[in-house]
Amino acid sequence: MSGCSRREFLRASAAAVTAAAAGLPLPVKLSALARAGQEAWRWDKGVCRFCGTGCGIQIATLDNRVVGVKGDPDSPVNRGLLCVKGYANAQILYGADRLTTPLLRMKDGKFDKQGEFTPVSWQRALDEMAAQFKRVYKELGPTGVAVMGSGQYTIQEGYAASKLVKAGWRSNNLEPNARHCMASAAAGFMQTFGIDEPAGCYDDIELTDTVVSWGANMAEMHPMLWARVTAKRLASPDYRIFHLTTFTTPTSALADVEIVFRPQTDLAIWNYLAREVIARDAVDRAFVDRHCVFATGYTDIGFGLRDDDLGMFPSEKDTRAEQRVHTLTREEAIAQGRGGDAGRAMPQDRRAQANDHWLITFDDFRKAVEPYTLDFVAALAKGRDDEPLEEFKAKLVQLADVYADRAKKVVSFWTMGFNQSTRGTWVNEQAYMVHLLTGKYAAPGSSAFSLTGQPSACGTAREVGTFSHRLPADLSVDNPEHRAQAEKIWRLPEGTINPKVGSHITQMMRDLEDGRIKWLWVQVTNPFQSTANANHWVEAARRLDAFIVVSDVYPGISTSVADLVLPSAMIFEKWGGFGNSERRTQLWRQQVPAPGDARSDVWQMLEFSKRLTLRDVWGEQRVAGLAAPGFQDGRLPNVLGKAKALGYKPDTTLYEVLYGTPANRKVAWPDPVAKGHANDTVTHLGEPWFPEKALFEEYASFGRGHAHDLAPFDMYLADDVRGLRWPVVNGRETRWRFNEEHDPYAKAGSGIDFYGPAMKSLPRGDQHAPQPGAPVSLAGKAKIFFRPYAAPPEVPDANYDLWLSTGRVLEHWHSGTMTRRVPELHRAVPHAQLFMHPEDAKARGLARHELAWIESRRGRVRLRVETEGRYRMPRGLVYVPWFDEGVFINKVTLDATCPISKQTDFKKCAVKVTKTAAEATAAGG
Amino acid sequence: MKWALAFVAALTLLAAPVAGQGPGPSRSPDRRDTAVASADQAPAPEHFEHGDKRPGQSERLPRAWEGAPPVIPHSLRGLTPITAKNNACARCHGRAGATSGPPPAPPSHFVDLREAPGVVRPQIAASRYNCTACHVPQTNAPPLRRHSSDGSRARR
Repeated sequence: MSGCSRREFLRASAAAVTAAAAGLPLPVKLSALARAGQEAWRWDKGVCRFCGTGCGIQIATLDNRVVGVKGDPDSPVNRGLLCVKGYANAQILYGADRLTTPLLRMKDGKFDKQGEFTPVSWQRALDEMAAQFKRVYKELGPTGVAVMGSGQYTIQEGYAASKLVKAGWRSNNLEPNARHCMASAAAGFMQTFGIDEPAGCYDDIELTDTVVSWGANMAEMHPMLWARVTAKRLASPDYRIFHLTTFTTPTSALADVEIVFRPQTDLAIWNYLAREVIARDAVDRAFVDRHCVFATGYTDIGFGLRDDDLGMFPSEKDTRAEQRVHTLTREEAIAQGRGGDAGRAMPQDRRAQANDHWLITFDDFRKAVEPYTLDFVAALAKGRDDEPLEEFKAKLVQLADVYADRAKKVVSFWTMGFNQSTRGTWVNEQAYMVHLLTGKYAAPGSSAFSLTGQPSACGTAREVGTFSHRLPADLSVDNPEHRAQAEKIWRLPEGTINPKVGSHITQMMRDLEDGRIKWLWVQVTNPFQSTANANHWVEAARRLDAFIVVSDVYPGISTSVADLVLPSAMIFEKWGGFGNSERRTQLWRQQVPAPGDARSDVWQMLEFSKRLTLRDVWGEQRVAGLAAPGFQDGRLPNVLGKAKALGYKPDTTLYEVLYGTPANRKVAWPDPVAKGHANDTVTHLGEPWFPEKALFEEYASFGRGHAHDLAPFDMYLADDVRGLRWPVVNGRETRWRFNEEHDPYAKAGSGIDFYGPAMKSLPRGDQHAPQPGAPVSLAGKAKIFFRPYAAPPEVPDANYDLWLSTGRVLEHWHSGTMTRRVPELHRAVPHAQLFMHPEDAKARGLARHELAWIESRRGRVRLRVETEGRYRMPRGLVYVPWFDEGVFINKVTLDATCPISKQTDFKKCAVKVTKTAAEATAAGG
Repeated sequence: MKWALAFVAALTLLAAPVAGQGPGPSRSPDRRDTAVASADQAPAPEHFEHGDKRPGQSERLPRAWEGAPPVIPHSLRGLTPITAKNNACARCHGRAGATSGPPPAPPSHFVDLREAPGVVRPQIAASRYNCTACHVPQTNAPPLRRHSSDGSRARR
């Protein structure tokens, strides 16, 4: 350590802190000494562990420990800035109770579901896991086992999981927590453009005139993007910010116009905008005629609740009944062009056809949006009862002025407010509806942009495709050509991959409750805290014949219901890569070793795969409900015979077939790209190949040449690269997809080419149904959907009289397992509070900071009332953040999902709030 | 290892089955006694408050680690939200190089690395305008037991 002993350095640093604490200026000499100490720090680039923004960071390490983090000045995403969570990247590794050894529930030296957690070796842990896997697989087949993964998976982890589950186990029961987070955005992209992920990028923030934040509290949830919006707004007097929201948030503070709307009425506001665009003759005819078609779908599609009454609490009966029959409200009847049907009980007969859609004419479209007049929408959508209607109307008109002004560029941002909705796919499609109608899309400064919540919701969950219906690079398991493509790249016998879509993540919980899934591996997520209607799932996990494995870094609710807990390496303790919201892929090197026996998730999957042979999984398998051309109903064929032709034997392990392949073993470790950094996946594997690089390159082969091109692994680790936005063609990233000037995949002479291939052949129809006839090809075009306003399945009534919305706060990440272990973040926001309007609190006899019960048909929790603070609630709506396991709010929320995307609506259910007995007694006494 | 053993001990205590209910969900091993099984068994969240010290009356709090953003030691009552017209933080802390009074933001805060790298401006860069995105106030909540002995800080 240059010219200063370690002890002197530590003393100097301590003095710096003490001096700062006392408010004293630091003596110059000591200050210089503290900096001199930093000369020994090793800096390397990385990416933030938290939200989907994907801020570049620089990580400092000393003696195998992370000692500091700063915003990367060279990152185009955040230019040296970080939010408070970003800085916590330096601390999240060092909570007191890191999991450092496998723990198995045992009694008398054997696994016992009722036993106590006992430290065991990795070998013992993985052997038990494999034995339990074989027991369940034999009993239930490929659908009896499942993996719950994550939008925080590294790209390589997601790819390893996809290959293990889909190629190895022939199951499609792989789901990321990202299903709760951006499935509606993905479904919206696929239906509208035939390909996933945004056309634009963050550069649009500086290039546009107007930012409209739709239900996205960017100031807290994407703070460094909000910093860019703020900087632009302060520098440009004509730059405007609109914030549409159901309650006032910190994002409102910098908005020029805040529009507080009633939950779910964003669907109506978009149609008002479309109607205005047409009425004001602001349709970009040339753009629409050349690049778009009009489409719509069914409305009687249910609410993604259970179709049956299994496991039902008596109090859940009326909400669950909505799944089968929904009574049309007056507003819905008007909004859906069924004026005479108000109050009619509508059987939800098209539940299985929620995805279906068909072409309509522009005239059909115009008529469909006709009911969405300013008067109708304003009366339906106004969110604050103390706001005068005329004032609310005036704001809607201002919003329409922006979208309808041909001279104005607009970026619409959204995230969970749209995605977490029982009509989440629809509302995503409505954003494209207005942007396509006005031609404000796929051009610099004009964008409809879905922000993602998690660091690799795009890079892993969507691009790798860790969903129950997907294969890498937008391929689907239910498409025979896609399966063939994957079987070729993966060197699998034809017929190996299961053509039946697996269970989505909420369905997996229901399957667990019903005994249809009995073996579950949870990775990089905390689903027993994060899944709505949690009382059911927590109870189901402890049933006698289910075996739950949870790989995690800290104990939490999911580890507490597990049978086996596996200690994982955290972000900078392994090699990895994330993909952010703007298609930017960023890779990092391992910086420090993991504590104790904690191991990377990649290593865990590789080691587990050594314990399964082809004989265990590639014989004939039963799959209930499987029906696909080339397959016997309800059966996956025995492929062991065909496997022989590929050189595999029945006792070949899945490790040899999936991971340690001859091709992958050629990707050697050590590798100069490491620049002296270690790889403990290799250390513990004990073989000289580089799994994270080999898996990345193998994965990339799915997308190269198919408009998902990634650069070579090493390029991302070059000193002068700060991530690259795919498609990366000839070393060049793509900022605006579909735009001929920027995207090499857009056809020459097209100007704009919506080349996405999925769902590009549709029948014709009218607003309510398709007509018989040959489907029409839509190559190169995007769809402008009409999607009507629809009421949610559960609304406040006389008993449960308030709306509940849930979400995050700036200081905490998801279920809080990491951020609640950072003292500064914990002290900033120690517990989840019940944010409510002061009059709503008063009406229930509650004062600020008093304890209250919040209760729904599904469960209740106790928490403290907050009538001030950073959120100002309208009457009738309360907000509870979900980070706090001590305020387990997902016991209260409803597991209704968008029937298309299967994403849960965490923003709406009906609750009541009451004084707790203790508070009532205190008040009475 | 010490902590691993403490964790196991805690699990052992908390994993006892609920009497008469089969295996039953065990309690969360976070040592806050969060009852996963029953809302009624979960302890009520404790009351906490932000400090009521006005700016200038409070003592600076230590940084988490060298280079970490300082936390806000004083009350923010009446000072937030930060709006386009009113940034109370910058009014006091936005005087570059001030040697007395409220601690000034460091020189880095007066440069905008996106718009004009290398140009030192007289006021805090607009990209840093939302001060509370990075600097957070502190409440009187006691630390959780799972914070490590050195406050889960990276090395000082």
